[in-house]
Amino acid sequence: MALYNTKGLTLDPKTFQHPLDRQATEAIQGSEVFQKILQWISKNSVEREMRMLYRSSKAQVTASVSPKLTAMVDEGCQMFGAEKKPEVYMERTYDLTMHLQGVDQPMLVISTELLPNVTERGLWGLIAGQMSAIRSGYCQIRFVQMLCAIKGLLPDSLAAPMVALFITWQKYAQLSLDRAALLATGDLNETARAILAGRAPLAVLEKMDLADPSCGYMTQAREFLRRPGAVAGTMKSAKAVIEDELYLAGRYVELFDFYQSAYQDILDDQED
Amino acid sequence: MVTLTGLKVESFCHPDDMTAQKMLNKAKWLAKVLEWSARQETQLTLQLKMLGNAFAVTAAEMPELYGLLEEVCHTLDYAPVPRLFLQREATLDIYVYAGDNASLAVATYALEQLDEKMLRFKLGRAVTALKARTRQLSLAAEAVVKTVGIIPVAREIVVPPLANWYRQSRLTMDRGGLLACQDTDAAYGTLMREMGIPAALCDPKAVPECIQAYQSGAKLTNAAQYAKTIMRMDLWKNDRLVELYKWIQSGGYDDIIEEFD
Repeated sequence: MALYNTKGLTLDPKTFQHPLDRQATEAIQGSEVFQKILQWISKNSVEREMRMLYRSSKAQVTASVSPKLTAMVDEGCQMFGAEKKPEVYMERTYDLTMHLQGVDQPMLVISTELLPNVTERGLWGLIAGQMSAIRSGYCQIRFVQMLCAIKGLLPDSLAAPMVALFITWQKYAQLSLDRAALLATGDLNETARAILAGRAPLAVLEKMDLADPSCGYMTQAREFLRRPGAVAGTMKSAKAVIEDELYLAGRYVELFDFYQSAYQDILDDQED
Repeated sequence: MVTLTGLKVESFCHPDDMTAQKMLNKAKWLAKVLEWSARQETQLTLQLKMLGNAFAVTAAEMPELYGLLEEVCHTLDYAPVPRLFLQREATLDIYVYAGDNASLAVATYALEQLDEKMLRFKLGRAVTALKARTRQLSLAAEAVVKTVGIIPVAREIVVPPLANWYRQSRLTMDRGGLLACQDTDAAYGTLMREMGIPAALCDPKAVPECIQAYQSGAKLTNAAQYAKTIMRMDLWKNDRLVELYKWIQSGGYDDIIEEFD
């Protein structure tokens, strides 16, 4: 009996990915030989070192430590068809992050501070999103991105545009992760709260209905997209500034628009 | 709480900061240029950082915090109340963005760590920066240091007084913070917390001891002189505690409160 994926959904991330994100994931998954090579390099280099580092300095979460977190990971893998179940680690940082590492055997690292700042349902959404990332091959893409950024490995004239391309992909991939989280929770308000976790105290976020287009944060987000002199649209303004992450206000509006447009169709197709 | 209606920055600003305030009052054109440059910065920062990644709060979302800001503005006689944002950061800082859309961004960690009086002190500092146009002047000073500072001879002439003003303007902000919270223990406590002293060990009675330790250390390394020679723009937090202590001891703080009481 599923605790979190109560509707028993099974989804292929291709059904909700952004087109540019899909292009990247299809390219990386297109050649099995290439994937195997990546896996081998990662396993015998960075991944080994990271695992050693994580096991020695972070808390590993097993079923006996947290049955809830483990159940979320299991059900997330099942929901999005991720074959490799990640090892889960907790790390103490003030930033509220959750990220994946490793190609051969993925590792999910969750910031301890995230837990008191999200609801259980919100956390489930975020974890399920990461499981969709495993299925989509984000770990492989990020590994290639990391290789391109190594100084001297590629000529500068090639490395710079490659890195810029990966940063753009990363932003689209973030939007796909948000969609996966929404499909997992089935609740726009909870998912948006999880995305905004820590930006304001949880009690403040809980007072706000983020599924309501007239809520205070939507006003702020729309103002962000409309600023005079700003390049129109989140993606364009995000491209103009080379930063690794998308603006939260842009992510929220994108998620809201997805909920209004394609979300229900995806669920209906699933039922069919 | 004494309301300081009609309070002028000149009445409490640090002597070296006073020159800048007088200059701004005399040269209206300069004030306008600085306002314009701050507006450009604010437009960009607001657009990309504040609206995009911070969380705007009003009286509806956080009545206590917003009410505190309103009270601080009222106490220091500053209007209009700036926009208030929360920013996820592990510092005790409140960031100031000046211009038409003046905004303050409170680090979430400061909210978790500081009590009401300490927040009042920090908000008072930030509002003083708006009132004294410190942000505008700082932007100009930073730009001059970055551009003129690359020419060795010009750097020797132009940068030291600017860097000195920059440091002194922070002392004016501390004084403004104290005038807003009107609680010396809260002001000392906040500065001690910023110095790194844990909350449990923050005892205002230990201030003279802290100062003595700092001054003997300064003598030992001639730190003040060293700071001048390397033209540091930022101010050591311990310096701020010493200067605020001196101002209170000199009766400067009590004089202002008595004047308005």
